[in-house]
Amino acid sequence: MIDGVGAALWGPLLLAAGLMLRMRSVRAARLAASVLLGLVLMASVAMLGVLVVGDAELREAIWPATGSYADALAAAILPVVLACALATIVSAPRAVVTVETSSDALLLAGCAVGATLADGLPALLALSLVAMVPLGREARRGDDVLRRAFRFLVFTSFLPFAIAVAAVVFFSARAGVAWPFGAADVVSSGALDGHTHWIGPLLWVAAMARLGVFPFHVWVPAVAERVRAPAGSITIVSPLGALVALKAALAFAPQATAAVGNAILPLAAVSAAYGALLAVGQHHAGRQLGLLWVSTMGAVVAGLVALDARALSGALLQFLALLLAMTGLWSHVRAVACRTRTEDMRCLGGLVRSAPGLATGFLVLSLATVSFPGTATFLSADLLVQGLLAEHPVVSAVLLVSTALNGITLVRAYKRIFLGSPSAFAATTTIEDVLPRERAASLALVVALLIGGLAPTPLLLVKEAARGTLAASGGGGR
Amino acid sequence: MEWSDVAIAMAPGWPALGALAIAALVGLGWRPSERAIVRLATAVLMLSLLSVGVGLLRWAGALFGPVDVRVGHWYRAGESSYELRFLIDRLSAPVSVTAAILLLATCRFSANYLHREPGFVRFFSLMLVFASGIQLLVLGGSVELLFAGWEVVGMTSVLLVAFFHDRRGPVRAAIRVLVTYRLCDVGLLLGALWLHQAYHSTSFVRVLAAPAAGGAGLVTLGVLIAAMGKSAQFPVGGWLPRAMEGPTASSAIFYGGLSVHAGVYLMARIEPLYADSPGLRLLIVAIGSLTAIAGTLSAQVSPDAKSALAYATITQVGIMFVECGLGFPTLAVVHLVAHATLRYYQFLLTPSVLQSALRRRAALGATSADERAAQWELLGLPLRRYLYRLAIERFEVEAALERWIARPALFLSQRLDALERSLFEGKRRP
Repeated sequence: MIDGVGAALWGPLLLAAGLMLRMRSVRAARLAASVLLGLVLMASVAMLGVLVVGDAELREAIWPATGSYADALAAAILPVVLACALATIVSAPRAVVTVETSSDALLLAGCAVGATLADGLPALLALSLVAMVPLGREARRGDDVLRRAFRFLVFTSFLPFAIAVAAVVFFSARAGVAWPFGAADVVSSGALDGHTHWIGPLLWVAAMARLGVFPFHVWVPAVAERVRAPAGSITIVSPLGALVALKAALAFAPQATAAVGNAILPLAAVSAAYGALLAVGQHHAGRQLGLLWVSTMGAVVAGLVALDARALSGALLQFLALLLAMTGLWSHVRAVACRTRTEDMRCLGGLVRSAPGLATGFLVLSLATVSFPGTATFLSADLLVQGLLAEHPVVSAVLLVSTALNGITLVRAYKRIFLGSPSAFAATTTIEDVLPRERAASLALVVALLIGGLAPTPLLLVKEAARGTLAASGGGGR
Repeated sequence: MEWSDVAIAMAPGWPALGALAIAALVGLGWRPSERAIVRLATAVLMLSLLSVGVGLLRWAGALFGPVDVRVGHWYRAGESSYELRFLIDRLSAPVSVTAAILLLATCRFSANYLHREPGFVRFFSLMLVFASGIQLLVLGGSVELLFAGWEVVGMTSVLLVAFFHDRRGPVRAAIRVLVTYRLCDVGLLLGALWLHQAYHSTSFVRVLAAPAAGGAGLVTLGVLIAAMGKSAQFPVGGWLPRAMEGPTASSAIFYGGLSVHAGVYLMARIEPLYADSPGLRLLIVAIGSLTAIAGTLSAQVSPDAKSALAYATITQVGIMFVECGLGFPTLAVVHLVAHATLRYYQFLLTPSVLQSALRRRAALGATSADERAAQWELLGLPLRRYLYRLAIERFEVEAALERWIARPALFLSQRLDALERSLFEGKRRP
């Protein structure tokens, strides 16, 4: 089901996540989680390097099926996902870090890595389920709204996915397809013929709900507003939704994707505009980031369903860049919230005087989120809109206006938190500036975003992955 | 690729490297002296000017015909690519040289003007980023490069308006500038994409030499919206007087010298696209004329020197739009260079304008302001009163935009949020 190299990456993460719960020292748990994530990150970067510059023999040794889209995709996703998890755990304020937090970070990273490398829907489903555990734990401790948000996620994302996977397994087994029911085997056997018209939409609903796209987005702002622990942001800023779209919906029900694409595209555009519009008027920094995520995911889903190689690769690149940028933004908001004990921007202001480092980091990451030239999101937005424009000019226009609104929202948030005179309602007007570990995490994310923008060739592996996905799904790669 | 190609490409590259060097050193904990910062900034701006000089030599060598410089690709993947391409011609050459010289002058002026100011390093870093952006905008041989420069210029402008971030006024003004820029820039993006669709290229040399294509009108409209935003044209020009909250040096280089003229440059650059469309030309002339009239009336009633200069700038830029609309892009660029230089100088003088005016009054016994007031007497009192009220209210444009766009958008945002909360959370929250 999953090759040995892959298991060597995600296995230890999940194992350590389980074992860590027995540890008593918070510091030791955090250190162990950071070291383990760092090691796996280095391994994944080395694998990416092999794929980009290594010779064919080495590539064959490391990546058993080099050339297939899954490998190229995995090579690009793995370092990003692991860097996000590591940055989150390293920069998390001590006030919110517990043994459980470190374990959650490992668990979520392990699930994301496993899902990226998984070949087969049952593994993807199982890892999606496990990845919900930290949020479920937070929900049990949290208020009624948080529990409702968790249930909403389960019912709209996990349940449709589980039904679809059960159907795929059933029909594939009946058609005599060999375990583990790989997409190519299932599609070529015709096992799902006559059923993709309902399996496809179910898979897309699962993917959209996991990504937080309108109208399945309501869990995102609720979680973003309530969960201050890293588990909240890592659950939202996760590759699982995109992987469900790519490895399940696009791979197993390509014709259905072409059919439902016309219904999903308007929803994606609405999501982009709706999230952007709601984010503009927010006072709560966390909720605002949640709504920004909803808006940006609208653009990503539009690219995924457009069945165009440029749009798809733009969407994937955009998604990866947003994982980095939003992880950084969330870390900064969390840092401010823990220092000032509020996320209400009406009670903040003027923090740049005491925390110029935090302010600079927030500004740079904000610009990287809204496609500023020189950052990875600029390149991806260019590809995405170029791919969408010919067939869907209205959607492209909506995405551009949404991106403009998101830029206004983030720079306005920067102004409200850091500039001007402190709010009359501020409990604290002087806070500690960025700590060395926070600076290191923030700098690493910024550097990754700049490298992705200025020297994007390694990330363009994703373009080949996109072409492979479309070829496999019969989309052609316009 | 020749060495001169690389030299030309470094015109925006040197200031960018300078800004990166300052950012990296400060990030590593270095506390540079003012002298070191000024020396570094002067050096990279000199190098940038030299690079522009190399471009001028190439242009002269080509007998003042367009020089298309291709220095490779930012990225290339299949059919998608982002070409690094620069264009030196009768439009870009004079503007690029003017920009390089004014930036060097700003560097010299600011070394004294901002001495011991807490944001000294920040100012110089942002000025270098701006220098890089404006050269990219002017010399960019494709719409993509021009757009990258356009965005960089816009963001540095916003950050410099909020330079004195302790006060609320500059911060609010910066947000106002940002909102106008971001929304209008969508036009440029759409224009660039339509250009790509219509001509299958975004290179100016190819597009402007090609026969008119179907989407040229849409491209012009998109670009016009962006140009109106950046050049403060009616009715979206209300941000310019507010942008005077920044340091005098940045007001001079951005809103007297370069940034405010970027829209004119853009309209002059794409003039062949709308040259055969009387409707579009009429629209551009109308926008420019309206802006010029509104600007000149508002300048007359402005209580402070910087605002009066800002409105006077708007007036002149409006006239440049009229020149573009009438089919005189070269004249518009000549006007641009002359006006940018004069206005830049006037902005730098504003801190001592009162002193100068008093000295002039003492020497002459009367001022041009008195003569202008006498001219107004020629109009009847009711008309004078009406025009005065319109000008003092800034033609009600600000209030209308606030009432019909900003407030409804925020209201809709809050109502939708409340609705979502009541549906999902089962209660209404403030």
